[in-house]
Amino acid sequence: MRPTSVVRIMQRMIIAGLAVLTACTPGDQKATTDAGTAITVFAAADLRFALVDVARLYREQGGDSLVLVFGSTGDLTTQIINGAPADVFFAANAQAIDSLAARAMIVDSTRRVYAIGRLALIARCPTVLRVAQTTVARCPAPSRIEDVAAASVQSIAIADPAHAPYGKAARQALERAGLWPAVEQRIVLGSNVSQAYQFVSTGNADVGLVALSLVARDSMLGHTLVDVSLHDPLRQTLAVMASSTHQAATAKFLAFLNTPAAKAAMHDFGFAEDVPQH
Amino acid sequence: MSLPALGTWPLALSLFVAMLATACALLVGLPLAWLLARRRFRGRALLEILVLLPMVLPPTVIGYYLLLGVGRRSMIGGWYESLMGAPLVFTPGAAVLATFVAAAPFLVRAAQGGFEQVDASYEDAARTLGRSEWSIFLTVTTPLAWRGILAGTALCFARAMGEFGATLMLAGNIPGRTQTASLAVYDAVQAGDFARASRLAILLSVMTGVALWALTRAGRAPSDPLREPPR
Repeated sequence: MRPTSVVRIMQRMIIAGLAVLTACTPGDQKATTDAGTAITVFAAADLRFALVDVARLYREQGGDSLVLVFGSTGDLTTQIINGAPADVFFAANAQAIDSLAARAMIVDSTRRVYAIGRLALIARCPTVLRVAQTTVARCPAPSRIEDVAAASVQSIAIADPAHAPYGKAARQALERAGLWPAVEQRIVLGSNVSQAYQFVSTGNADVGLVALSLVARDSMLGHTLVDVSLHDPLRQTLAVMASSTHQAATAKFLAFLNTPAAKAAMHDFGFAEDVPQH
Repeated sequence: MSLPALGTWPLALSLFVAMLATACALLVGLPLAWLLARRRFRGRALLEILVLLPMVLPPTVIGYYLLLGVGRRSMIGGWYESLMGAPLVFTPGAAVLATFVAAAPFLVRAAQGGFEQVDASYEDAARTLGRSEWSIFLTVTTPLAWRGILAGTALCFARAMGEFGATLMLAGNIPGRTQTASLAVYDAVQAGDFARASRLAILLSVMTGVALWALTRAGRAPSDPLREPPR
């Protein structure tokens, strides 16, 4: 009697689970078919908005769909070394691609600098301004990097310098401006630069040093560019993975990046149109 | 709006992963729970601690151990890769493994309690009738311990639906492949997409809540003459 009741409950659970799974099947199938031809792009977190836009443009032009995986460059590099199935890797620096090249994991001829990253200073919006979203003026950013050391600033969001290039650049900028000892205790680390940006945009951190590409099109937050002399250049480098089974499709997508439409989109997010390769 | 955009895919994957992990936990965990409840042997205390450790360890530690244990450069990972032609890490299978390790202890713990509650005289009676130990386990002990097993299954499933850290480390966060609902919420929050995060969080809460409700209701079902076994 009892075994039957247990078995029956288990059976019902499994049937209910399967029913839900089946109900979701249209979604699954779409995802699976997409996965069949989709290019898996591992991308530094500063591209969180820009690459979504580029992927949409590419799709509209009849291109393959892209599976976008965002994270800090360091995290993604570790994942790729450990066998993550990336077709192409958009890093936020050159060193990540170097370390993959040293392991013979990239197609060397595909390596190129696709953008030069810029660091931007942002500040959270006062509550009043955030509520009145119709406001014409954007929330002002601190005008100089020295402002982040002001006593009124309690928290400064940056990405983790240990594995995020924009975090490293932010730390360098604060160090070279002579502010690091004064602000060190107030630093809040995001696991990548888009999390650092999110800390400020949600009003949880007072100021942030983040990627320009994350804030360039933010209608609420104003930003101030950080002088490039304050940090090592962010030579954002990409490469196709040697293990990729979609070499042709990936090459086609990378060629699309050179079209005026894609360049204009990247420009919209604050990336300069001409990228010096050397 | 297409279904994946609604967040159906991560939820379906979460359900799939949680159900498989719970099924594995039942297969491996029930005999283990019985062993811990009924047998005294050398190293039993150590085994019990090893089994329960994932309950209290940070998921990041579980994920790290699993990466060491089944990652590409490990022995097991190497075997798997040479056998299957592709690494285990960063696949849905890796998500199931990480979830299984994180959630199974909840089932073992509750099932062990259930088995300990069963009066051994019923088993002894079955033994005098010449039944094999395996048959006694399946037809006497397990049915009498079903409440504990059910509670354990519910906890295991709920924990599996919520697994995050170990899965992130072993399976990554790849949309349409290893991005479960809890990972999708994390990703949506990082992207500042709070609409998507809310949608997923609410769906996840409702689904897990309903599963728990159904199981507790089943656990309270009447018509159970031997509900309180004599002590």
